[in-house]
Amino acid sequence: MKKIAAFHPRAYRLTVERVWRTALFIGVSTTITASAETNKTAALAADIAAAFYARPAGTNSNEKSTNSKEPVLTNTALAQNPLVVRGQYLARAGDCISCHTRPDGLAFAGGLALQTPFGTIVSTNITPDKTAGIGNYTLSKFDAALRHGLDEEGRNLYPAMPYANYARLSDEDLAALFAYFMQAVPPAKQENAKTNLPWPFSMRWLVKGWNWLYLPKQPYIVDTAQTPEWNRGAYLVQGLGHCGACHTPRSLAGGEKASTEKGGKQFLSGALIDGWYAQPLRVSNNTINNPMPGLAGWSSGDIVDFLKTGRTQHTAAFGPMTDVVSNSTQHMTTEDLTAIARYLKSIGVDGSVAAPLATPLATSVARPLATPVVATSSIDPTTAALQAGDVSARGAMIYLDNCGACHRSNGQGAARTFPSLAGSSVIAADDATSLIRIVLQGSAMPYTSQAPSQLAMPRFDWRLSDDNVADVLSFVRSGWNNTAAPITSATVAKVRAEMNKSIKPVATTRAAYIID
Amino acid sequence: MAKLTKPSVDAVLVGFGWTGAIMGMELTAAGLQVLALERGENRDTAPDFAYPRITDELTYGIRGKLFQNLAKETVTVRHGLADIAVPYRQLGSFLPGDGVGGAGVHWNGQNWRALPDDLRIRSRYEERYGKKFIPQDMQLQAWGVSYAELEPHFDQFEKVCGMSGKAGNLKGVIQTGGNPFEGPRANEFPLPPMAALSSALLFDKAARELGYHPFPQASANASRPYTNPHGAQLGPCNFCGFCERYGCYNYSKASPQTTLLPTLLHRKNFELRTRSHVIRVNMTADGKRATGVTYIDAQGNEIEQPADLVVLCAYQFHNVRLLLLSNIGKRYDPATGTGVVGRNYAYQLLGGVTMFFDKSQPMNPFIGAGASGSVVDDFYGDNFDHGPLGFIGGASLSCINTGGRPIQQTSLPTGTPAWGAGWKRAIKDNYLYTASIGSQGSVMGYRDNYLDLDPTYKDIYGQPLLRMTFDWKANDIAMTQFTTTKLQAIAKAMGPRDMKVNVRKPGDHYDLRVYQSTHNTGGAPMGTDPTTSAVNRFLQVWDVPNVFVMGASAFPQNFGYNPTGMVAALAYWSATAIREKYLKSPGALA
Amino acid sequence: MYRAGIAATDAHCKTTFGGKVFATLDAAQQDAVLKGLESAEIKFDTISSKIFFTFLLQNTKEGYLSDPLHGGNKDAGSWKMIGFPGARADYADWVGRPNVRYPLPPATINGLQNQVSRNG
Repeated sequence: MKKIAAFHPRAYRLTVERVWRTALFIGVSTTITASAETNKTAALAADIAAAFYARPAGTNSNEKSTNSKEPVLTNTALAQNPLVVRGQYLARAGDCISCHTRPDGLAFAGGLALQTPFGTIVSTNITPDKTAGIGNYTLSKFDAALRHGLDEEGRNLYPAMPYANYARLSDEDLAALFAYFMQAVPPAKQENAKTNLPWPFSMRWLVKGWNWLYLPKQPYIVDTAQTPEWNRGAYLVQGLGHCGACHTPRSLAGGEKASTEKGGKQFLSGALIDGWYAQPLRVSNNTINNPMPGLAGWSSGDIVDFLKTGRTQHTAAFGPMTDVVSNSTQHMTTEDLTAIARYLKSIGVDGSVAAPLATPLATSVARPLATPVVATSSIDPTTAALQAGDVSARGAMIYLDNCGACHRSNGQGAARTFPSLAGSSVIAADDATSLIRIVLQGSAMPYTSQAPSQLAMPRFDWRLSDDNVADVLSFVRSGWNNTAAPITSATVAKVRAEMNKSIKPVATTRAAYIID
Repeated sequence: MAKLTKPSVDAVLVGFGWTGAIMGMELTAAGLQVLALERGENRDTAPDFAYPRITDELTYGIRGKLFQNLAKETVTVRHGLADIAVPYRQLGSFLPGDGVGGAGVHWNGQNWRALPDDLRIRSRYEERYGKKFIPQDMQLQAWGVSYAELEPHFDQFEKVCGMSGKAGNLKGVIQTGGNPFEGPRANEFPLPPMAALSSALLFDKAARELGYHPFPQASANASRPYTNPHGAQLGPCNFCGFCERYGCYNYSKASPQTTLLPTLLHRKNFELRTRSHVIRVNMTADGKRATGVTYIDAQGNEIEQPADLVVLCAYQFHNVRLLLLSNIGKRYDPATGTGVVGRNYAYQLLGGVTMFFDKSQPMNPFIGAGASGSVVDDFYGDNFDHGPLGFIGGASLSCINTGGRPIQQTSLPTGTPAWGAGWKRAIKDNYLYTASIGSQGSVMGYRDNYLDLDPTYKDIYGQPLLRMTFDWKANDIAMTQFTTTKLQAIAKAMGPRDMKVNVRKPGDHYDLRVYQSTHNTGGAPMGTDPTTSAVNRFLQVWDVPNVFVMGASAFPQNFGYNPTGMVAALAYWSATAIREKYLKSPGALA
Repeated sequence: MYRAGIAATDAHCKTTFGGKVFATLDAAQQDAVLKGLESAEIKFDTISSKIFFTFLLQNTKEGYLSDPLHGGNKDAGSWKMIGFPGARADYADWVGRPNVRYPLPPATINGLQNQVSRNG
């Protein structure tokens, strides 16, 4: 403890012991200068890693990485260097590989074209190649890019790179990432493609104005009213996890409308992005029995399970989230995922933040071999009609002919395999874009080491007209005590057109808006 | 058409169905660099078996989209030594698989364990009925492995598949509702039995009334959602009726794709190459060791693939053919009964009764699953007294409704016109009210039922086709006559208004044109005597210790059961021997 | 097979029925010709009339009973007649209900795309 404190002049000023412990738990420091000695920082971070990351992301050594391109720490010295190991963990938590690798390219060599409303932005080479990559970066230049959005020459990066989120990173985590990218990632000679946005977006300096609005001025600040675990969750969600990049609505200028739970009700309130609706992650203040958008119906254990395996007893990841799970969150420790869950569960729809929660969390990712089918004591009218062969309700016949085989007449699907439609937060979402898109395009669960089956729903765009989709989804949204609004054919037509326009896999896109 | 040599691997698997996937899992877990060569296409639930396109009977059930393309390679068949064999050009009697998952994709999922005495059949019959009871030309022989040795491996496969069923014998204690004749199990099935279909309810009642012991068929169609020990998931079967001949759209049927490949394909020490047709196992000059295999890739290049260990995991007759083409093991000679490769080819003898019920009893035959039904084991194995009957073997009797697909599965009463208004009226009046039950009978090994290379016909690569010499023998006809009589009695007790019996009679010859069973066995039998077996009890080729041969080719004679449970248990048994013994000290294990 | 078989059948019909091809015969005459092919009483020079008939019958049944996407079984008419629900392929709710007739009409692979959405 003393040793760590010695390298943290400011830590002495933190007199409240609980706060002090909190700061250590999340590995926060507020000072780093360009002249800081890398070695010292590294030693410090290594200590923290040793103290708090005794069990770095546990993966089966006998398993291919989800992204088979990701470098494997075969070099024993590297694999035993806690700083590098932690850096790899953090690079996964930040999901760097998804944007900085093109489909046929080398890991982290960039070249992925990201479609934005302002034009196409091509991701850059972040391997340590001296000419094509970031091999000449010092820690301070790395910091400038990651937390301040500036390239090697000090020019503004476009905020397609979520540096506004990464600005929350602690100095120690920054150092660990730097160590990983410099030492463990193989250099790749892949030249960067030029990003050519149309005028006026070609004027990078405009981003300075954007930064003034949206770039946090300092790393994560500990909320002393909350537990270390809550703070750890907040740090990950707001920072490396950059959850808000998809799940928070954006202003006209393309910035997240709120970047912390303190920033307002818009934070993680659900957003339309690249043809998908990223679900709201705030907890509904309605009763739990009333299916609602958001995480009201999710236990913290469900959230951990979801991020670890891409599925829960009742639902599954879809759209771009499948890549986030397989490339990023499945590699995170149960402790970190639990912290994320605890943090998310504390944020109310009404803007409130729940008081610290002290009760231990039951997280059981391991399930019994056979899960009995849920028995319903009283049969609801939707189920009763379908089981009697009564298809008089609008959309009921389409449901039986397309959906019922897996999701069943009781709308409950099957545990972990076929998502439940009854009481589902996805079905209940105000914005049905994702729902429609899943029906049209199909969906598949992500591969994760704990749940390797990529159970898939087939696409139905060739089989169902816009009217059919509207009817069946309206049926689903009002069946089994669901209470969501009906869907019109026009809405389906719009989603279909948008889907057919997208020319590349949706799973690799990211929030990428800049100043207007 | 270049000739290339690839970097060596620790183990090469030839064929990537059930046994390839099992071996892949086990050998990669042991740390080996494993390469699987599959001559067919890659296939998976999504998109290849996706609803609703998989429910296309004409494309899959009749035209056989998932089966081996006989235009590229097939077998030739003849009844006797004096006949000239002709190629099997149109799918009929059996349906060999092709592509990733092999026949494990389009099987029904009916799972059986061998009876303990099945594996020591010769001793059993000699002990109970005397040596003279066994016919002269019948080459009845022991497996060299005991039920007790295989039990953990049966168990392992059942857990991998999420097998639905009811134990009949738990650690020696007979259980109500299960098969009282089965060998002792260490564990109950991972999932409860499937729901009973209308026809199975009638069968169960009738068989019970007749004093038999019906039990639910052990099924690799999951009765509940299931997660197997590898983390792979199955969804509950919804009785869609498109199982056998189809891939499962619902993730309910255990297949390599649903149970093992989700894990295996992500292992970094595993590689799969599809469209890679192995043409031979390469040997050292002295023929004592394999050096790898040679295959033709999708571009027609001839690739040499060196490997320390070669495991043949293809279908039964492809394994035998590869041994013959590679000059591994002594070829079987029917004139003298000596030699081992090609010996004891066997099949199965099936009987059936179709029942037509009254209009008050719709059977809804389309409600079906590959392995949902009721079974009786009273007339299989030596579960009944063969003494007065004079034959060896028996049949399992079952009422399993796999579906009511109208082109293939419509059966009409005797005397119905084959076409026209009368036919149309008959399908209208009978389709919904039809149910059928069947007997699956064992076939033993005989001196002149065997496999060798055809002297005339060749495949598209210019290599001789495998020749099958096979016909029914009096012993097996007597077996089917007897067991089908029992079947008829059950059918009658089920109370149909009309019924139709299908049974082979003395003098009948094997008819290649009609579908019977894809349970071809033998040709590389396992055993403890190198003069009557091609592989030892660990499925290792005698005298070529780095070649192992999986699959039903190892069966010395056939069961009256579906073979997959036995094939899988043998693969796990062999893999365990490789991991625990062979890798520590590569050499002959027996 | 079909090219030769149809030509030979029409040639037979022309000589037997005063220049008429098979398609223009009445139903009874057509039945008589088909029976003649089935029994091989009508003989062709080119191919076996019996084998031609066997293929014809098998393929006709396949068309009649397969999914309408193959061109036969218009509006799933034959499935409706016999009671086969076609591509529905989901009967979990109907297992274990003996003597209950399944009540729903057939589904086809191409589905309801161009049909009225309500009530199938």
